[in-house]
Amino acid sequence: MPRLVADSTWRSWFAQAAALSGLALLAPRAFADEASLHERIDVAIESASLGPVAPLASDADFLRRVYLDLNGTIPSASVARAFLDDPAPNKREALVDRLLALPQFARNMQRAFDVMLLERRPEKGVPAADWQEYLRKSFEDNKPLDQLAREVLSADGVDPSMRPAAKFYIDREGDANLLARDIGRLFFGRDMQCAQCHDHPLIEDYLQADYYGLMAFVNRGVLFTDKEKKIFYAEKADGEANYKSVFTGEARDHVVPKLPQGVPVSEPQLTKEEQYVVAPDKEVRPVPKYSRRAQLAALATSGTSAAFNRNWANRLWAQMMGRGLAHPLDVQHSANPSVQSQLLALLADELVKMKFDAKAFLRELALTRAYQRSSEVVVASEMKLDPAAHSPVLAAWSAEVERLNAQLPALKEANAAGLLELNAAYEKFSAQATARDAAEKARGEAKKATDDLSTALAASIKDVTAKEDIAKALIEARDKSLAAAAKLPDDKQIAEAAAQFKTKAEQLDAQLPAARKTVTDQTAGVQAASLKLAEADKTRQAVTLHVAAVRRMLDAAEAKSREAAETYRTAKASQRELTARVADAQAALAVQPVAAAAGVSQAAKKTAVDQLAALKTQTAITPEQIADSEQIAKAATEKAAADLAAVDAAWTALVERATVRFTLAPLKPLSAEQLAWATMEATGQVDAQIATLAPQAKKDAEAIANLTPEQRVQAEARLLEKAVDEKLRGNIGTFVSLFGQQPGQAATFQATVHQALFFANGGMLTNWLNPGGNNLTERLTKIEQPAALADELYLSVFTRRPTAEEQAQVAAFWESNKADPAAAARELVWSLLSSAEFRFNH
Amino acid sequence: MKCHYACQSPEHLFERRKFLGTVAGAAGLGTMSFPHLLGAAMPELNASQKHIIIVWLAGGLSQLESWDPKPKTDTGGPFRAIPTSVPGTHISELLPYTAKQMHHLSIVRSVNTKEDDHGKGHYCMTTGRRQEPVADYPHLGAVGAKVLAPETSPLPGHIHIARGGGGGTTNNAAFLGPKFASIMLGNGNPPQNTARQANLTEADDAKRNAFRMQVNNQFARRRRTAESDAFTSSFEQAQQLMERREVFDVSKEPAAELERYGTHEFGRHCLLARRLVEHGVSCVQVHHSNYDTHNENFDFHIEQLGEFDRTFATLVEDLVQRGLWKSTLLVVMSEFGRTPKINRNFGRDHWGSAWSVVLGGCGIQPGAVIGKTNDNGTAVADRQVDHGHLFHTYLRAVGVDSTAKFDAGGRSIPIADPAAEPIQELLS
Repeated sequence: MPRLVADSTWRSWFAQAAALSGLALLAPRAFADEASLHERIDVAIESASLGPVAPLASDADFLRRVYLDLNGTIPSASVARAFLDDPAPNKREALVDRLLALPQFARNMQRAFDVMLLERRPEKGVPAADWQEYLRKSFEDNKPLDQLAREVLSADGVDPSMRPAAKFYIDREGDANLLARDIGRLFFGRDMQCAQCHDHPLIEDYLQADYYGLMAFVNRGVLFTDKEKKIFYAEKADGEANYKSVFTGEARDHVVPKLPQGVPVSEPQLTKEEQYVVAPDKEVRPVPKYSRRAQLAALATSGTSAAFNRNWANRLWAQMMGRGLAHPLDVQHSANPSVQSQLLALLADELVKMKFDAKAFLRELALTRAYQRSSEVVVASEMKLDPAAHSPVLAAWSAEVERLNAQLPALKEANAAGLLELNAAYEKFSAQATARDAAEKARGEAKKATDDLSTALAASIKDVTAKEDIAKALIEARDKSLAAAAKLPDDKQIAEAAAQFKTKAEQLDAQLPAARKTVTDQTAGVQAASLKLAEADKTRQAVTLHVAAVRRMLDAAEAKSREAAETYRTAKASQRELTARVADAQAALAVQPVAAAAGVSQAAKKTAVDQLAALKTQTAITPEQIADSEQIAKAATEKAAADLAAVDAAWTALVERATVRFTLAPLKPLSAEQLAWATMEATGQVDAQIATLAPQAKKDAEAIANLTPEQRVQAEARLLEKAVDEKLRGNIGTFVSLFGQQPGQAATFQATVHQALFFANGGMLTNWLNPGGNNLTERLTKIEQPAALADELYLSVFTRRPTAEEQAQVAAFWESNKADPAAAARELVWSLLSSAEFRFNH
Repeated sequence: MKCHYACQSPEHLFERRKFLGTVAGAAGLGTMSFPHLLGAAMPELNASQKHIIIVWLAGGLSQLESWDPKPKTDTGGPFRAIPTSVPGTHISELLPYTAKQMHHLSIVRSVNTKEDDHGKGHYCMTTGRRQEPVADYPHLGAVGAKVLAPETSPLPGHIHIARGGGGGTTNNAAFLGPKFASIMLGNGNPPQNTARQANLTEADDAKRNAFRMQVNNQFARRRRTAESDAFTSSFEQAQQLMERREVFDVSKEPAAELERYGTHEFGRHCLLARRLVEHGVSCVQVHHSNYDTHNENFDFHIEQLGEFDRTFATLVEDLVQRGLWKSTLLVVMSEFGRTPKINRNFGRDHWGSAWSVVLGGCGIQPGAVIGKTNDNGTAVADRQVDHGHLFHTYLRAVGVDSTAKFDAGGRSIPIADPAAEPIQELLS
């Protein structure tokens, strides 16, 4: 047996299946450690499906597809011509590399990530232009995706160079639930919104505890607006993501932050005095010493979060392939497993190994056969359809399903038991955490009492000292005045004064003991309070230690529960995935018999109908005989129709499943941005701008000092792309308002009558189609030969040459409308732009 | 090995209806991610052809000067209450024409939305939910267009008529998608882009469309999906819509009709609403502005309701006489009512705590009064309801199971707030 499995992550059933299927595709070379990622992807895709595998797309289809996916637009007619006529065998790979190096790549990624992360929300706080430039620059510099995510998840808008990254938080107004939902969806592929009020009613994996674990990272966040009305994202040092289930009433407080499928975060137990770098106050942006949000950014992007890694691998895959390996992109869970979870796991690992280099990763995807397959159903017929040859593979898959079925009940039980233990551990933890809060509060109160008493004591001491000072002066004055009175016994005034000094001194002297007592009492009070404070400190310390201890128990319970959950979910996902695979294979294998049956019934119908017709020509025939024969013909016709419908259904299902399994390329609707740019490219708007702006770009590039010639070419391309984008981007808004999703919603395809009307009668498109400025319409009117005209038309709009049939159609149209060539050219361009071939990436 | 399946036969490729039928029946509609209504309600709804007209009195109509007068109390203001065509039910004397139609309508006098903010009140009343950052919900008209409008209807299912509407699309359909967002029609403006460009004759348009279809057919031979079919048919719908452009032109109504409705903007808009519904548009909202009477509440209500009353009464009368009343739900609402307390500027302020909504048609119990406020209107005294109950009621009135759910890209979203239920007394 050849060495089949080098990567230990592949499951044994896969190895078995591959061995049994004996496909030439599974040559040992493909499994070698040094095999490129794109080869490993293709082996995985092709060996997991017994249905039809479409051949590679034509050069023209590939050209258009890869341009749209990597550069966000279609190529010009001249680029198309050059590529189609290029005889080099490796021209596809060379094209991929060229497109990845163009400035349009960064622009395309900017648009894709803008729509993905902000979902066309209305602008708040951070200008869209700044954010878009931040994204574009990030991709121009090939910033690793983990770094980009880290910047977005940790941004607060303070550092001017990172301010645009704060748009993710600020546009969502810092709302903790919205952020928990969207971070879950966009960074971890899990929309857990329904678990906000209770464990998800339909998705077993989405627990309320997980939702709040994620929400705890952001629920201390608030928007802060400074005096200049500038908005920042800020964080407080307290606030818990407490919750209560509306189903079960079960409540949890002191929720420890935790990434989806992650480990609860270890957090420092800071005392109240230690919590802030900058304490919150009026018009002061608080800065906590320990930031949960910083933890989120660090942990998510550490390379150890399987959910995060898988999410990005899946999203990049979807950008190229039209749908995720796990789909929808934000509904990943064990009951909706990836069509190939092992492949997705491999991709996630590889993305980490590639240090989240999106460009290198996309390059591998672009080089796969899976990406380069044809989307044409009629030629998707290279099918491995011999049921006998495939039955061992099917049997192996089915056996694995059976094995998993047998395991699942016990695993489910273990999962439930783990959750129960976890709940118990959480209750203990929560009780201790509550006790710590109480101790912190008591300590705060004791501190305040001590401080208050100390203040009072200081005042009393000051009072006594002052009084003693006066008493001393009075006594001195008394003694001196008495001495003076003794010397002047007749002086009444002096005698009176002396008496007064005496009285005052005595009065004050009488007050002093009480004041001194107050001091003594208060001193004792302060001592007592200090003792209490020391006690409270001790209690706080002890409870803090206790919290740490129960936290370790909680972590142990979490780890146990997580392991049980992962085992159960993995088995469940595998069971679902394989069941679907078996069903799809069976459906694929069933098409041929259904088609054969339909062939038989078609023939039977023909025979019956022919017989009836023949019968009717004969003279010696009874009405009963005709009626019988009619009955037979009718039944045969109905059977034939039913069988044809069955083939139709079987085939449609097959096409659907082949698309889902990536053995047939999908039709991907162009995004609003792609459609806008492709339309401008096809009609000649882009070329016109290039012609106008190129000289300045060249001049500007030449003005940059110290560039190598190669760098200068790149600089010129960048400057030109930027200039063209600035000129034309204003047109995108109209397309977005018609073809984009509603704000805050995930992108979906919808064909509306308003879109069609915009194409039919909109002023923007009409302007582009009216001849002028050497646009496509004008170019076409200058071409005399209908064949050459058809060539230019189809290359410009469809990125391919017309077939002979299409050439004839164009010639016929041209001939019948030659009275007004400009109008004829315009309407031809319009017809192609308004067609499904243009609207979809195929 | 080349396999020859029925897919390569012309039957398979071009028999579109059959193709769509099988696609819709097949499991795993992964690519058709736009939402559809789950459950059995859908087919039955499509057949029933119900309509919704919302008369939106922007700024907040005073319930005390309209549906719930409190004459001779400290809060009642200067106007009298007059009897209506429903014995025992009185409304403000500012609505003499409407008073004669009240046997077709019902009043809910016990609305408490606890919401005094224009934006939030608008959101509550039009979506049936309180506004929250985590989830956005579609406007009643978008829901109506989704569940009431036939899939193949060339006319937009959700139209708003307001001053200055440019015929463009808006953003009030949330997860239902742009197809169901309202388009804004202003004075005599049809939807955007429904007129051919001047340099394109009808004949040329037909020719280019024929060529477009030829191109589409060629592509369909290579591949077609539910999405590509939806795309190509949207162009056919556009053609049909252009042919029916006059539907949006109220000036095509006889002059006498315009006279009956009133020659002012609101009159024309209500007549247009009737015209649209008659031509099969599912949901129409007509705006009347402005009732935000913080100053001179009484003068303003004389003026505004003076315009509203006859027009609205004419609309009700027409819908009844033309047999549309059974299939058309008519609702009069605002973002909130107005304070019983009269402020120092003789105005009334925002008030979501005890106010009224009027509705009728489509099997809504006629002539009913639901709930009541206390003697001087400062609180709900009986049968308190909010936007959630009303939203359920509207949906039930047009035959939609308001406990059904939408499927939005795999997420199941209740069509109306599950915490509320319909006002059963109103549903006959």
